[in-house]
Amino acid sequence: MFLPSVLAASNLVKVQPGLIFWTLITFVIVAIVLKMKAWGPILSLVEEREKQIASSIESAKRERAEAEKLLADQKTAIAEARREAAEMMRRNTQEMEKFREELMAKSRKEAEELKLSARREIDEQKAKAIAEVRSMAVDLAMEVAGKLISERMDDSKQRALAEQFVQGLPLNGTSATGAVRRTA
Amino acid sequence: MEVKEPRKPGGSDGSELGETARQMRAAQPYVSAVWKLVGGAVVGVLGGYWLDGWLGTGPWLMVVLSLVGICVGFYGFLHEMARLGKRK
Amino acid sequence: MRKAMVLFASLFAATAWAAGSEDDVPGYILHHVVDSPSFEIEVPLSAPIHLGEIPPIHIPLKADGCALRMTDHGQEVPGLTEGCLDLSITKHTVMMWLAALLLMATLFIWSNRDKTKLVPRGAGANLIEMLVLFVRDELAIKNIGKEEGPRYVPYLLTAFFFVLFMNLLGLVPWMATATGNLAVTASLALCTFVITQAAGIRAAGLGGYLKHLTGGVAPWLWPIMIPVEVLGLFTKPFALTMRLFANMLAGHIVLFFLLGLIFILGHPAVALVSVPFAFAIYLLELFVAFVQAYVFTMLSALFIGMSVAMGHHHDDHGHESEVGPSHDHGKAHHV
Repeated sequence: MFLPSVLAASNLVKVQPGLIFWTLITFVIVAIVLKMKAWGPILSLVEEREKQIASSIESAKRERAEAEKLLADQKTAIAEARREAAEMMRRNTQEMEKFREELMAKSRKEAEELKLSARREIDEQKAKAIAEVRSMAVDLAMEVAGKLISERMDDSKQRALAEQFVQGLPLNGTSATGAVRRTA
Repeated sequence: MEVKEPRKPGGSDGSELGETARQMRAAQPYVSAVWKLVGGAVVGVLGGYWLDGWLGTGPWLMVVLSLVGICVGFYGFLHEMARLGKRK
Repeated sequence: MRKAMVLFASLFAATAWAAGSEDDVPGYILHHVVDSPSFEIEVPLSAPIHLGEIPPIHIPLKADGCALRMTDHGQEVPGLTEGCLDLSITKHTVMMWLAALLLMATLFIWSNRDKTKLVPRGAGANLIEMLVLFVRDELAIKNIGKEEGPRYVPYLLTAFFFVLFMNLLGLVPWMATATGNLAVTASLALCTFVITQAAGIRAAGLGGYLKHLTGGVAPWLWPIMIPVEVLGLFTKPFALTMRLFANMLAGHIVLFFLLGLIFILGHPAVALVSVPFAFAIYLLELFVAFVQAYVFTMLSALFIGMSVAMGHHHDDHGHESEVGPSHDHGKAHHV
C-alpha cells in the first residue's frame, strides 16, 4: 500500500520546467504591472505624505519659534514702555520740584527786593525830612535870633552864623533839639 | 592587495541596518572562506566524476581532481583567513 | 461561532471521507499537494467532479522529442533532457495565475484612491499601506540600507505579496498551494538570485564582481576557484527555495494526514480528535502563510543587502577608478 505512494512521492520534489517557465513569466509580468500601477503610486503617496508631515513639523517648529520670539519682543517692548513711563514720572516729579523751588526762590527774592526798596524809600524820605527839618530849623533859628537881637543885623552875616550854628548841630534830631535848646 | 578600512555603502553609516543584517554582513567573509574549503572538495569530486563519465577514465580523474580540489580549497581558505586577519 | 466550527469540521470530515474512500491515505495526501494536469472539485459525500484538463502544451526541442512513451505508470511525457519542453498548464499554474490576478485586483481596488488625499481610507487601503511600509522600512531599509534599499522595494513588495497570495490561496477550500511546488519556489528564488547578482554588479562594477568570483587567488587556481565561487552563489537561492517549499508543503501534509488518520485508524470517532486538530493546524497555516512570505522577502532583502555590501567592500581594494562610476547612481531608476 505504501510503496507505490512513496515512489510517487518523488513527484513532490520533481521540478517541472514548464512551471518554472510560467512562474517566471507570471512573476515578471506581475512585477512590472504592479510596479507601474501600484507600488509607484503607493510609494510616491507615502513619500509625499512623509515629506508633508516632516515639513509640517518643521514649519510648526519655525512658527512656534517665531511666536516665541514675537512674544519675547512684546515683553521687552512692554518692559521698555513701563521703564520709560517710570522714568518720565520721575522726571516730572523732579521738574515740578525744581519749578516749585524756583518759584519759591523767585518770590522770596522779590519780597526781599520789595523790602529793600521800601527801606531805601524810607531812608530817602527820612533824609529828605531831616533836610527839611534842618532848613526849617535854620529859618526858625534866624527868626528867633533876629527877634532876639532886635532886628539890626547884617542879614547875610547873621545867616552865616546861624548856618554855622546849625551845622554844629548833631545830625540826630533829638540832639539837634538839645543843641537848639542849648543855643537858645 | 591593499586593504583599507571598509567604507560603508553609499555614504550611509549603516546605523539603520537591522541586527540580522549587520551580523550577516560581518559573518559573510568567514562564511565565504569556509565555503572555499568545502566547495573546493565538492567541485573536485563532482568535476572529476563528471569528467570520468565523459572521458571514461575510470575513477582516476575523480581521485586526482578531488585531491586538487581539497588542496585548492584549503589554500583559498587560508588565503582568505590571512586577508581577514590582516584587516583587523 | 461554535455551530460554524462544527459545520466546518463535519464538512472537512466528509470531504476527507469522500476522497479517502480508496483507502490509500498517502496517495490521498499526495494527490492534494502534488501538481497535476487535471482539475477537479471535491464535493462532500459524493465523488469528485472532474473539470477536465487544459490541452497540454508540448514543445519538442528535437525532432519527435515529445512522443509519448509507455512506462509502468502509463503514458509519460519525456523530460527536458530528453528533448521535450512541457509547458502544460497545470493545477499549480492556474493557482499561481489566480493568485496573481487576485493580487493585482486587490491592489488596484485598494490603492486607486483619491490621490489628493495623502491618508488612506478604509481597512483595505490601510492594511495594504501598512504592509507596504513594513516591507519598505523593516525589510528593505533594515537589510539593504538607507541609500540602496529604496531601489529594491518594488521587487521585494512584489515578491512578498505574490508569495503571500499564493500561500493564502492554498488555504481556500478546493484550491492548491502553488508555493508548495519546488518549481515555483525555485523560480521565485531565481528571481531573487538575478536581482542579487545585479545588485552586486551595480555596487562593485562588473570588474569588481568578476574579481570577486575568482576568490582572490592566483590565476592558475581559477579553474577550480571559479566553479567553487559560482556554486557558492547558488547556496543562498537554494536555501530560499527549500525553505518556502518545505514549509508550505509540510503544513498541508500535516493537515491532510490528520484527516487521513480517520481512515488509517478506520473509525469515525477519530474525527472527533483529528478534525479539531486539523482545524488548529489550518489556523496555524494562515499564520505560516504570512510568516513564510515575510521570511522569503526578508531573506531576499538580506541577500541583496549582503551583495551590495560586498560590492562596496570590493571598492576598497584600491580600484579607485572603479569607484566613481559605480557610485554615480541616481535614485530615479528603480529595478
